[in-house]
Amino acid sequence: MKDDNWTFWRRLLSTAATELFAHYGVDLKDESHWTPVLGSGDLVAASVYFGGDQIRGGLTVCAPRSLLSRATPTPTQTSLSDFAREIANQILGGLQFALNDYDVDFSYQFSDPKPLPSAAADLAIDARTLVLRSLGGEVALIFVVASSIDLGPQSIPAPPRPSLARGSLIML
Amino acid sequence: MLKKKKILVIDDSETIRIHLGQTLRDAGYEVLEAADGLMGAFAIRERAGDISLVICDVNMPRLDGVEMLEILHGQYPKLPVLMLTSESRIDKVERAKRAGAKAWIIKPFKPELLVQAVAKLTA
Repeated sequence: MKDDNWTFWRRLLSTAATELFAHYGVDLKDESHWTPVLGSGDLVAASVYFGGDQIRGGLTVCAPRSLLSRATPTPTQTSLSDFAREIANQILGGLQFALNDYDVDFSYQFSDPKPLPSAAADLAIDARTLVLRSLGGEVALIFVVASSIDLGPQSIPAPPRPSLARGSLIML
Repeated sequence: MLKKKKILVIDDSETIRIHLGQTLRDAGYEVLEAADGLMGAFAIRERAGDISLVICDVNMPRLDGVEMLEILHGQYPKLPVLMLTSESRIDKVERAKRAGAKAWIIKPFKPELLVQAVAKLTA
């Protein structure tokens, strides 16, 4: 997007947000700058949401169209935003599998996220952006998570529960 | 001429439906599609006698794949169902098994593994 457009969006967003917060009694000052996550270009993005008793949040995958075109199994026939959403879904599947070791569970959420259960009302919310680089461009993972659990280096994995690894086939 | 076996693919991702369609057609199957569990349930009710296998995602809007199987449970005992999903929780696998699923593959999938499983389930 052109810089002029970003100036326009910034004014719109800033005005809408400051006026809204003022309505609710909070005065905001617009003093910082836009923080570009990826370089300019033709980007595609998609978001998925998840929720459980101890954790909830959202993941947005954003990447150049050219990079996603290289990665998609159906390069000529499908919408890249659909593929980006599928990538986000499958990344979330990887998180779900890994968190199984810590006895942390969540479900995918498609409609309005469910309200937090009362016991989890104090979940700490954090948001970060991880940018991963490749020769063909960068992929940004914008991750917003509210969690009551400590998953730092000191955390002790729960006794392993059975779960399934990516790509595996189980005959039932 | 030998009639091609029909496979119903239920997934909310168009990318996955097209990818599965290409893979299965290349392997000699005819492919039908539905975009969520609700549309999948309608398709099964309309064409169950005509379908050799259902490949179904789990996490989908409106009606998820396991819920769809639970609704249809017992009505189509001879129709094999393969779950193809990012979902890895064993409790979901067990629910799907109780509802009649015969196999479970975690995405991303290798096409050759999928075709192998499909051949086994439609034999």
